Amino acid sequence: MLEFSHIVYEIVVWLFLLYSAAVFIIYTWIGLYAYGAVFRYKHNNTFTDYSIIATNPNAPTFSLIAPAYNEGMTIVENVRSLLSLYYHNLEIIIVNDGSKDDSILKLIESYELEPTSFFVQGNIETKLIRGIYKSKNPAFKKLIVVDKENGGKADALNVGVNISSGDYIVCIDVDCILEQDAILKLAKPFLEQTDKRVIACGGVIRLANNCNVVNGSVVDVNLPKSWLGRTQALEYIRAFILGRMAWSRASGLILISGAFGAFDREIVLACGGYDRNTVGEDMELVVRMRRYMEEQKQAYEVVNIPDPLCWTEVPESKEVLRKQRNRWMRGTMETLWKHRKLMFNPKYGRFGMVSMPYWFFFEFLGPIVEFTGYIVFLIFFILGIINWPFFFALFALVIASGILYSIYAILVDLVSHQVYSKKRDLSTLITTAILEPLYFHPIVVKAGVQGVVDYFRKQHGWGEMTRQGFQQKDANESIWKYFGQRINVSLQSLGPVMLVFFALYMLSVGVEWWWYGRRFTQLSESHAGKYLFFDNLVFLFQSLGCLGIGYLLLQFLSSFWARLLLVISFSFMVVMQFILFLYFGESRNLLGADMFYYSSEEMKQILEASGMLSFTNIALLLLLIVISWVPLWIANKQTFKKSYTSIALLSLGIVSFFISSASILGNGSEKDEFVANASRSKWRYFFESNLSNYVEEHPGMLAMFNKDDDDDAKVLDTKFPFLKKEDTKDFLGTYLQKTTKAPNLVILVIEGLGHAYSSENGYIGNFTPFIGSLKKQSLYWDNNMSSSGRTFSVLPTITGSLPFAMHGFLEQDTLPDNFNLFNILKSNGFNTGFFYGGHSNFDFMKKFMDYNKIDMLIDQAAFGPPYKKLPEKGGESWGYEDQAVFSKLLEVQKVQEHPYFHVLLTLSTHNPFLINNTAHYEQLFDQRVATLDLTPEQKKWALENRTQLVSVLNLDEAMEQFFNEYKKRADFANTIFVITGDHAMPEIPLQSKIDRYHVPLLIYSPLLKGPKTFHNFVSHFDVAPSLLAYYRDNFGIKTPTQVTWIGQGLDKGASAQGDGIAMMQSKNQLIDFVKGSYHLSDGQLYKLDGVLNEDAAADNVKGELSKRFELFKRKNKLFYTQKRLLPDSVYTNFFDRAKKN
Amino acid sequence: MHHHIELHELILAIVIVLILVLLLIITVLAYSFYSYRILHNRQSWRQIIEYKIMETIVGSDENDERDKEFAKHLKEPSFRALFLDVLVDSDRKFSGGAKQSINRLFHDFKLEEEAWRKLRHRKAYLVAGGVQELAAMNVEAAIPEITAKLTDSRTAVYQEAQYAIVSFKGYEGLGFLDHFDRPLSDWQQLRLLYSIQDIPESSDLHVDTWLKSSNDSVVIFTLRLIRKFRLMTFYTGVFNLLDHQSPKVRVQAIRTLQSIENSATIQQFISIFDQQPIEVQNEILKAMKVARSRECECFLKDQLWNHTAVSIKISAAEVLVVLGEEQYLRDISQSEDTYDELIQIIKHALQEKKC
Repeated sequence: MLEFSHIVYEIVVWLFLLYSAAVFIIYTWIGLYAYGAVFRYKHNNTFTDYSIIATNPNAPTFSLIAPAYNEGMTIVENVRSLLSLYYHNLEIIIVNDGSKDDSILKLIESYELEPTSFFVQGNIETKLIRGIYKSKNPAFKKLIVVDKENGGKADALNVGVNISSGDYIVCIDVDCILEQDAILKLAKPFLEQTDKRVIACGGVIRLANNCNVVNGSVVDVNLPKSWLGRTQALEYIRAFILGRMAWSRASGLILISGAFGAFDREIVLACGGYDRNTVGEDMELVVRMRRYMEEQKQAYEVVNIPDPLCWTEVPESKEVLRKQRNRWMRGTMETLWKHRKLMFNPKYGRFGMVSMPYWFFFEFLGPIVEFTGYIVFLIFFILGIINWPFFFALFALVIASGILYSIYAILVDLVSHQVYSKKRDLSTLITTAILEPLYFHPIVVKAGVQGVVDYFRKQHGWGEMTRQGFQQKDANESIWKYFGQRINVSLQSLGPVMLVFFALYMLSVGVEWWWYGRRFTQLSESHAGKYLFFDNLVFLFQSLGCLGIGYLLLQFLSSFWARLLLVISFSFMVVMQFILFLYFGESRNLLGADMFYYSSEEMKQILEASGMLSFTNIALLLLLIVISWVPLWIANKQTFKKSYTSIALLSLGIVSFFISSASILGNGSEKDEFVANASRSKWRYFFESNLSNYVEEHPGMLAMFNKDDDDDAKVLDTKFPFLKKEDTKDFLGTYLQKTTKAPNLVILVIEGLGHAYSSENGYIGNFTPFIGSLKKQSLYWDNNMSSSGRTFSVLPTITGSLPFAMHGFLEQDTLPDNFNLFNILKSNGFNTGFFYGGHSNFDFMKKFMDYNKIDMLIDQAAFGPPYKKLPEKGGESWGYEDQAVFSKLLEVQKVQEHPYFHVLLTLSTHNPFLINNTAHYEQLFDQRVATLDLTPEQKKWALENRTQLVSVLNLDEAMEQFFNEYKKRADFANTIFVITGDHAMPEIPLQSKIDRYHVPLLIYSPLLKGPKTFHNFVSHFDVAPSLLAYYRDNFGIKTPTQVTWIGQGLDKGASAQGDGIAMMQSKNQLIDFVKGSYHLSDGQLYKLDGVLNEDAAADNVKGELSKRFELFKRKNKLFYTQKRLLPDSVYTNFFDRAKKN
Repeated sequence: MHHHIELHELILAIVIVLILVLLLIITVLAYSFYSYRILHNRQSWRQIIEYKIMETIVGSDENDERDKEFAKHLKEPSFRALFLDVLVDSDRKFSGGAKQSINRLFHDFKLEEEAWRKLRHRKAYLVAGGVQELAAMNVEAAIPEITAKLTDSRTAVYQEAQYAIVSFKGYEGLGFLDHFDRPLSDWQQLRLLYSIQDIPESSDLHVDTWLKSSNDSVVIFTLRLIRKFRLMTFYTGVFNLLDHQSPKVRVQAIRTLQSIENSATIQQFISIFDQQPIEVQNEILKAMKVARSRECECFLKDQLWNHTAVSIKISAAEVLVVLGEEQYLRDISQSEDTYDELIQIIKHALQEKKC
């Protein structure tokens, strides 16, 4: 549980950190980009002579629209100020939006207005116009006053748009004070347009609070008196000088402030004017105009100029400010929701892919994330899990970054447009920048969050209006109705894709069965086909269910991406199905998550060596991709009229989660593991393997479901669960003659040497005549088990009796300190070496050797003529043949005074089983089959696996030659040989689950007093402890007093008294456990007989075995999460002492 | 396996960024105060410079002491830059003797070099600034170099060069239009038109070539030029543009034809009216409103009754009002047979006249 909480904690902290980093990066970009934009504008306009358009009849006409509601106190003055604007082709439209005061009367009186018949040409729907007035006085001929019924700001602006006759409209708040040359400056970008149409242009708005205004113009600029006002002054500088300038330069601006902005009238009319249903009509209009232009595929721009053109009063009371910010947030949300289709929609270019997501993630989510942060902080504080140094460092960084951004904005403003030119203003602004995060910011965040709450509480504006116009109808529907329709449409379009996928997948299963039929005769007798078909069918429905539901959810975000992902997923599944069954056909192994534990180099080598990377195969793969993609893509473009097909398939998908193949067809678990595997859905195995692997890698996910077990708690209480006192008895000493000199040790690990074909008792027979003869002169364990189903763990197990870690001991990034034969014997004066015909990097073997600082690392690179490589397949050979590796050892290791320890790993018996001089060994094979007294069953097996067994005969003969040569050397007499297989070949069908691990173990030496065969169950884990005990007790070799052996020595082995041994089937499957005479495999219990055959057993000891296995896994997990196996002191003390000696 | 980021590494990273941010805050603050000082200086310098210009224009700059102080300031590069700016700005505002006095100041204080340096700079805005200054100072030696800038790829540079060449050579400076293939913005057109004061009769006119240019903006500019100087001789060339593919060109052609109209113009307008898009038709009616020709009365009545577009009906009614046909309109509007929309249109037209 604690671990689960820890993961939640980490995820939360990282999410916030990543968000902060994103904010930091984006604001850095805005800062730098805006600087360029501001100065570019300044440079281009140094000597601009605006007078050339002020009175020019060729200049475009502007219609200034100012809606007024209850502005009676100031309206006359405000209109006078507007009339004095410096621009000839200008009409000023004042829209009295049903004011309850005497605004209209005051206007009529002051400007000598009289009602005029006016034919309104614009077609935007608005509230009723009561009257249109023009002045009798030619001095006011620019003025048009409209009196209308109250309908809100957007409605009033729409009336203005309908009436206006200019090329461009300028929308302002009537209480704004415009600079005299405001229209001139706004007109310039429109006049400068060439290939891109400028559809909207905004200018900088500044604060009029505390400024001295004479005759409608600001004559003395001062900062507001209150801190609330000053912080807003700072905020406006940041927003207009940095934010909008950067976005304007990047062609991503989507907000022109409602207080002052100019628009292309034609586009506004084409878009249907302002939306009356939103409180953020200014932003919504720009978004809609941009959307319109994108859909019309016309080049356009939305421009912001950094000239301060408009002055406005901002709220200086917290209450009004809160209301304003609340409204802004709701406006943002309404616009984002209404135009959600644009989000991440590549059709809308930068607008859809950058601007809209920016607004969503930073402008909309910003306050919410910040507010959530405060809550999370509070929770962490109460729980006492705050890391204070981290908190303070981050807090300081956030505050400092905010301050930096503000001060930078002040600087850019200062050097570009000195509005606040008094020295006091500069220092006040800087002080404001420092105080703002503590004082002003929380208010704004709170108001923003309140806006979100209000938005959802009021369900604002989704059900009132049915006005027609460009993209207006989207927003005006109930959210539930919207969801319903959306789901329905998605289901209709989902049907064809699902059906095509169904057909393609089942076709691939048919091909799979046909393929197996051609290759494996033993399958024809079983019911594997039925199981294969049904298991795949269930998996197919489950996939349809999951992916279908995923699609339905995802399409709410973006239907384009949802469709694309669906088609990609389905095609991938079909292609992967082919790859998975072909892999099984080739290797007889199921492919699971272990494929991810090989590096790309290793993978390449495996593929090349197995001949898979041929031109034909790659071409076939490409063809397969095309064949699976095209029909799905075509189907993706089709829709059914009804959604019944999708509903039926999805329902079947959901139902399929409650059934299994076994429940319908009965338990099909074959005794023959190969047949059982062949009849499984390869995809299901691949998926489940990856899923369980993921869960294993993220243990916290399931920790909350696991109960703590008190019995085990003690073991797990320690930091080093595998650490124990070295108490292995010397077992080998009794069987070996006493000598004065420590004997040499050579371990021969034979690739794929299984018991089944190296012993007359095996189910195939003895195809290793030499090893067979050696057994009779050796200490021989016929019930020995390897620790893994693949090569990856043989070295750490056999030389160090080491645990697996997560995916094999050698898979760890850095190997934790450990004791093993290499480093212990080396510290006792042995020469150490490793011999391998391939790349020693394979399975990270080199890493292990480097860690142990062995004296000789002989791998592929060390060979050369006359040594022969194994034949190539697909242009790649695994490496040098076994004859070469054996000879190399004899060549490199000269007879010497002090002892040596070498490990040799062979290669020839690895897939694709290609060897040199095949004909000779085939002849040997035929003779062997003829001369051996094989049962008909054995004979059938032997003939079916001829290629593999031929390679085994090659190995056997190579080993014979090796021993013959060795015998001639003086050091042979004082050498101990350990001979074993790393695992049984999975390519030769396994009869039972334990067969994978059943390999012979021989200890041969001229020093042996006599041969002896042991029948107790032992494993590779027992080899190193026994060998070291022998050397310690007989030759005074120093061994550690505390060790981490998994094994207990060859005398005890996997006996019932011990802890049992675990075995890894592949790098991600730790599912086998043997203790006493029981084998637990993937939850199934088997009873082992005296010759390691097994049969399903009653579950009476299953609990005990499971518990032991679980304990082992937890110890292993504890080890790999801590990345330490033993205390540093134990490790260093041992080697320090060894050095002194 | 991935390397897990340890907490202390994270804190260290944050602290490093924090230190960087704090250093940046200090830098930005220092630079802000430095900039403030410069700006503050600029305000006082501006006064000194403006006073100097005033003295020069009035002709009373005999004060040695002030001159010395001025010379001292001139050593400061930012002062020189400001001086140059103010001079160029003032140069625009004056003409005649005053302009010459200002020009003399350029030479007296060797500001020309500064402008030349800018002209040869790499940055576009500095080059444009250099062009502006040299043109303002009337440095004729710069003409070849400025002419070379006409083909510069940067908008700021070639636009400024165009303007400078036209200021130097007047109408003759428009020669670059012969091969100009980029769009000429409205702003640039207005600037160029503004700076051409007259077209000498001896000029070798390229107007015909420009009217046939494939660059629409060049055609529009030429139409505006014809309009400004009432170049009657190009009437046919302009008329031929009425079937130009761009409606924008046609609209400008209508306006130009109206300004150089002859006795056939109205009839020509009437004859081509039906083939034109709505915006051109509107422009024709505006032209008729200015022409006040009774020739078009029947045509207008026809449009008022039969045209489908409201905007055309309104314009037609407005022209009829200008032609004194109020009574005709009033009769229609009072007739019971008239449909409501037409009544509204007529009222709109009639009452406009009242204002």
